[in-house]
Amino acid sequence: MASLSFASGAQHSVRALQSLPKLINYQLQAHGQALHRGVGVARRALGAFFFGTEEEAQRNRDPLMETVTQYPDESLWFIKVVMLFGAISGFVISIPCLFYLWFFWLEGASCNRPLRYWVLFNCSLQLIQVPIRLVFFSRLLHVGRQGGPNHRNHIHQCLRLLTSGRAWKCSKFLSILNYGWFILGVVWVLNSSHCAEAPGLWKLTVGVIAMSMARLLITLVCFYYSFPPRNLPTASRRRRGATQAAIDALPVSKYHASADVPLLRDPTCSICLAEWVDGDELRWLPCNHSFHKKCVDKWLKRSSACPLCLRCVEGRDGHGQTIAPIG
Amino acid sequence: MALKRINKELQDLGKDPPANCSAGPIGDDMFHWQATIMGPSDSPYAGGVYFLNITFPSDYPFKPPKVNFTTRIYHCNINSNGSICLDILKDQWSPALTISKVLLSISSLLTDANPDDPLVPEIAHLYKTDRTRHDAVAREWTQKYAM
Repeated sequence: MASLSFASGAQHSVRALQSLPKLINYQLQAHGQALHRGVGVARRALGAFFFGTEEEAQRNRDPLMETVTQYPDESLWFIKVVMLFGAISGFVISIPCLFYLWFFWLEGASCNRPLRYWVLFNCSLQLIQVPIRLVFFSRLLHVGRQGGPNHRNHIHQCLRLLTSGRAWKCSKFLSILNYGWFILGVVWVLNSSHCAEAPGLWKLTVGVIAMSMARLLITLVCFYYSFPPRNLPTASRRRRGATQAAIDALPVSKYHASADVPLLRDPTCSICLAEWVDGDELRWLPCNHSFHKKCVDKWLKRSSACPLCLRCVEGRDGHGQTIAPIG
Repeated sequence: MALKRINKELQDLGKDPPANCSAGPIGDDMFHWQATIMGPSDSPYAGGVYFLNITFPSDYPFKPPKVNFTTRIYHCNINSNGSICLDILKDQWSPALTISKVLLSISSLLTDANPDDPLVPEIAHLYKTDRTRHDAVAREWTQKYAM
C-alpha cells in the first residue's frame, strides 16, 4: 500500500516535472506577450506623442509648412541641422553647468539675484528638449535617406505629421519659454551688482547667455545658408518673387471701357474675378496680359510668373520666357 | 479680398456649373467647401461619386486651396488620406485658377493618371506593368467606396 502510494506520488511528481517545461514555457510566453504588448503600447503612445493624426495635420497651420511645401529638401536639411545642433549644444552646455551648481550651490545664495535658479531652470529646459530633438533628428534622417522620385512628398508628409504632433507643440512651447527665460536672465545679470562670494556663478550665467546668443546667431546663419537665392534652375525660379524694381518697371494704365474694349477680350481681372470699371489701375505684363495693379503686384512679389500664361516677367528679352512646369 | 473672390467663384459656379462636378460651402464658413466629382465615363472610376473637402487659405487666391478626397479611391496620385499629388495645388498654382478649373484638373487626373510622379508607388507600378488588373482593382474600389 505504502509502496503503491509512493509509486503514485512519484508518478505525480514525474508528471509534474514533465509538465514543468511546458508551464515555464507558457509563463515565459505569457510574460513575453505582456512585454510585447507593453512595448507595443509604449511605441504607440510615443508615436501618438511625436506624430499628429491626419485630422490634426489638416487642422494644423504651422507657418513652417509653407516653407516645407515650397522647399522640401532645404527645409529638411535646415530642421535636421537645427535639431542636431540644438540637442548637442544643449547637452554640452547644460551638463557642466549642472556640475558647477552641484558643487557651488550654497555659495550662489550670496547673489542679490537668483542666478543659480536661473541657470538650473535654463539647463533643465535644455535637457528636456534633448531627447525630443534627437527623435526629430533621427526621424528626419530616416526620411531624408529614403530618396526615390517621390521623396519630396515623403518629406512633406513626414513634416506635416511631425509638426501637428504634441511633441512638436511641446518643443515649441519650451523654446518660447526658454527665450522668455533668456531675457529674464539678461535682466538679472545686468542688475546683479555683487556676487562677491560666488564670482564664478556670475561668470557662468554670462557665459550661458553668451552661448545662447551664439546659438541663435548660428541658427540664423544656418537659415540663410539653407534658403539662399542660389542659381536656381529656371523651373524653380518662378517660385521666387519678382523684385520691386522689376514690378515697378511694368507699365500701368487707367481703364476706360470705351478705349480699352478692343484690346481686352474679357474685361475682368483674372485674380479677383471682378469686372473692371472706369478708373481702375491696370498693370500690363510683358506678355500683354493685364490685371488690377494691386492684385498682380501682390502676386508678383510671390512669383515672377504671369498668372495666365506663366511667362516670367523678368525675362531678359523683355517679352519674358515660358517656364516649363515641374514634373 | 479672399472672401470676395470666394463669393464670386460660388456665383460663377451657380451660373455656369462645370460638367460632372459641383462645389459649395459646407456651412456658414465660406472658407470651407465640399465638392463632388463624378467618375469620368472613360475611366475605371465611372459611376462613382467622389466627395472632396476644400479649405481656402486666408490669402486666397495668392495661395492654393487645400483639396482632399474624402471618398477612398484607387489612384496612384491620390493616397489613402485623400491627399492629391497635383502640381497646380502646389508650386504650379496661379491666382488665375479657380475651384472649377481645379476640379476639372482633378477630373482629368482621374482619366489620365501620372504614374511617373506617384503618391502611391505600388499603384503606379501596377498601372505601368498590368493596366488591366489596375483597372479591375480601381473598378472594384469604385463599387465598394464610391457607389
